[in-house]
Amino acid sequence: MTNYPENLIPTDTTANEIRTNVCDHCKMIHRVDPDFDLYTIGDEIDPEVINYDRLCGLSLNVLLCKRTPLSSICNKDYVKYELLDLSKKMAFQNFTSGSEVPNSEDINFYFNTKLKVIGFKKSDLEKISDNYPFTKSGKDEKTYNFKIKIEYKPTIVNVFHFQVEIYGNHIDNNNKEGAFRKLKGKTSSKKYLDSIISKIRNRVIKDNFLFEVI
Amino acid sequence: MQNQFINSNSCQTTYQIQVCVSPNYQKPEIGIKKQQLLNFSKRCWDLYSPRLLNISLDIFELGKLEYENTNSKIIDTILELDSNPLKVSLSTTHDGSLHYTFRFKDGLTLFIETFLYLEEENHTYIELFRNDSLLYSDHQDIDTGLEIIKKRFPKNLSRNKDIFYLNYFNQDCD
Repeated sequence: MTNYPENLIPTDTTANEIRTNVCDHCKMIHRVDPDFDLYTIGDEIDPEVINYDRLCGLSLNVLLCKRTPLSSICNKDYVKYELLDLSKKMAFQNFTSGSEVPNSEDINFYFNTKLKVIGFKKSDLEKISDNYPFTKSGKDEKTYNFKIKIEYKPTIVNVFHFQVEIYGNHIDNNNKEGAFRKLKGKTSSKKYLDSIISKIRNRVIKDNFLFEVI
Repeated sequence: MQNQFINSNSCQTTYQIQVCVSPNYQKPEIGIKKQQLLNFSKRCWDLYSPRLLNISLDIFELGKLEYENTNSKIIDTILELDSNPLKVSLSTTHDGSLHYTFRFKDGLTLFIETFLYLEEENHTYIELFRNDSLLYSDHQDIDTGLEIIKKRFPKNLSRNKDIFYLNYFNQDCD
């Protein structure tokens, strides 16, 4: 039996190289359940391949641009490794400089060939920003701003791991100054989150930038 | 007219959708018919609505009610606009909404999304774009929203040239 890929296990060197070399043109990829039909009847990638309910913190892997030496070790199939049993918790352990990393032969995994993969250019998602919530025309309602960042979050079993984060600046008890702070999905106000998700979904559809990674 | 059957998997259920593909363009004067859009949106509903069941049966029932009450009104509004849609889609989303997309010529895209709420009135959000420019955005009840769309949608767009792309919606193969 083959071991878990060594390339996925981080070192300080590879993590730093990815952090400094990722650019707007790099591709971000995301695995999709094999039962999900990637294409709509209209033959476009179904935007629901992204679970917008979980967009805050959505996991992605990077495919670095060709100009980066590390691009040669990026592999679209790396998102198809599913950790099993006790190894599962490793997927949630962040890698920082000096972190202890597992030996690849100790990682229990399943390589799920049936998983589908979609991708998009990093800047295509990050360029989406707008105000929220939706306001009723003719009414003077306070609006705020949101923006999206795709942040590098290597784990001890995936040096290529990134996460989608949504920042908003609405005021509440925890944010009286109206500073931008990370939104936490379901714990944020539903009205605010629905507006943000709707605006993101509409722009994903309008610009049609999702593609299947084959 | 050829019939094509597409097997589509959604929510682990297999659906078979019949799509009519014409090797020849329709006559421009035929135009897009309400019944075609009703048939098409019904197929979309049948295909995608099981996603709402993944949230809850109550949300599914609420979505069904919303679809039955508003789908025909939305299509009537679209047919009153000064341009035929080039592409239409109705989807239900994992986060509990009914989401319509209408693409028109000149880079116009209209979105109508209704989020389903069990404890309060549903929220309908509307956005109209011309390419990257947002022409109009609103949060209204569906009836008011549709009236505003009629007023705000660009005028004097010719209909005829659009028709060539509409074979896709022609569900009546006979």
